[in-house]
Amino acid sequence: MGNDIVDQIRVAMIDCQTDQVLELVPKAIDKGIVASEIVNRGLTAGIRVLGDRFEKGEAFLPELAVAAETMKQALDFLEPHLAKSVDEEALGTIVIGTVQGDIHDIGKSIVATMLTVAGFTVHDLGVEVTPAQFIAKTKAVNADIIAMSALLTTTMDRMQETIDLLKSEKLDTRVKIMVGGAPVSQQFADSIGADAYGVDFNQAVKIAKRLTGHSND
Amino acid sequence: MTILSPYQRVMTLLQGKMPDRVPVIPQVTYTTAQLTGVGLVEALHSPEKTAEALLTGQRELGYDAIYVGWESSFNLLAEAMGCTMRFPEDSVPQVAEHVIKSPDDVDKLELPDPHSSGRLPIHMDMVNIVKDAVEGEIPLFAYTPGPFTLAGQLAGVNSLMVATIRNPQFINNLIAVAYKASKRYALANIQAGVDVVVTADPTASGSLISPKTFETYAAPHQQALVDAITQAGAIASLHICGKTTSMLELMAGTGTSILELDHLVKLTEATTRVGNDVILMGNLNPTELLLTGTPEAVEAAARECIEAVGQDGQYILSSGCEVPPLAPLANIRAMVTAAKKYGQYA
Repeated sequence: MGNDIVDQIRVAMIDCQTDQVLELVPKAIDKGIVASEIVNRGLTAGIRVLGDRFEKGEAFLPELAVAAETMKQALDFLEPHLAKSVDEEALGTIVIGTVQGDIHDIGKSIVATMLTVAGFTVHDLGVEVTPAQFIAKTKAVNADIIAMSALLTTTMDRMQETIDLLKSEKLDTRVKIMVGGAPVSQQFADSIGADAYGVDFNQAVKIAKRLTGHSND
Repeated sequence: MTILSPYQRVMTLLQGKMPDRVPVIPQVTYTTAQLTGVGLVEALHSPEKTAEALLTGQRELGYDAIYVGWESSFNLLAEAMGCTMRFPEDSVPQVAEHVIKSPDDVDKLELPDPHSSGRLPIHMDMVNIVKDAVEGEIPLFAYTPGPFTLAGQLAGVNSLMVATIRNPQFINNLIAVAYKASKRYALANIQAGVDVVVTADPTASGSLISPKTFETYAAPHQQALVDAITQAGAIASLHICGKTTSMLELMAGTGTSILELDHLVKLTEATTRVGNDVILMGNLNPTELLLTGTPEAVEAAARECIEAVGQDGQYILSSGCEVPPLAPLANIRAMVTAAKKYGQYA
């Protein structure tokens, strides 16, 4: 029975049935299913299917936006049930944000959500994050990775400034940099000295695991 | 063959005839600030300074049309319709607060007047100055927002995307208002002497939405805009960024005369599928080639485009999307050089 309801959650995530997911999650808790199983085999498994479909061009931003919103709401409800296990299992700590001058939020937020469900402790600084803010937060939480997003050709150069500041603070050997966003490319990432570039959230999760030594690939 | 003026060259092509050579029209706006030394932000409020930069860009670099734009049309209209803008010190303005916070807000929207709302008059003044300077010599291209994209600026892209699945009625109402605003703005630009109106619909990209969502929410309004632009006596172009290979027929089906393609679309495939219906324009990579590449690499890539699809007319050499502000001018010169070297028809 318990497995059935977790599978129903997974299917409802894939079908973008937000109301159904938010109805089923409390029911699953009532039935005594542990929160991490609901997250892993229900919510995350569903969103992963959408992620794979997105990579293949079979799902699109509307589905991902609905799924990310649903995931956030479900995690808000599940948080008290999850609190204990998260710290023990955390794969690493990531500071994420959209660079200064740029207020594009959606892609960065989806990446942040997916990094969280993958098991990272994620500090989302939001949009218009200055190099100084990235570095201050990185020091404060002892982050392993800084993840930066830029959606404009006028703002992508800001990534370089954060990397320069990281170097001048002598943190660049310990802290890895990953970058993404529509105008960003592998070549651009290389040219500014970033450690990795990800084209979408599936890749972002893979890269973050690789940079923290958790990759099986 | 005698050398045509840029205006004659582009108009000859648009009439379905062979000009003297492949026209070259990089999507250059604020990149021209490099030439006059005007600050990108400083220029935002001065139609004289933006017009001077745009005119200097064409004169110095020699391409075949002027894009009369400085910041995106969808931001200008979003601001004029009530969105709060943020003005970063060294970047173009962006929407800080969306005017549509709930479906009920759609009823409160007012159609902006291009001659009095927000900063639209600055744009109109810029068009007038440029037109007076080059009328009949250099064709003018101006953007109007695709209604789907403008709806995203008004309500937020995330809300727009979610609503395509969860609240179609809301989206339809919002897009209907956005269409009216885009049309009014397009017609004002045509009245001011713009020759080609480019419907720019980046949020309707195949990188973001499915062909089905495109067909439902974006294409019908693009088509209506194309009709309105054409009826007003101007040429219609359609610009959608990113991966649009899955939507080529839908885009050509809007009736647009010019189809602008980003670097992620193969020109050879596009010409096979829709080359009889539209003039293709594109598609050099704006960042990897024009921003960080060398002039030699740009010239080689431009040559490839011309040799692949530019042999029989029906083609304009261009960038895949807007040229970044800090792109080296030598790379734009290399595009123009390539059109002259490899694009001769006579």
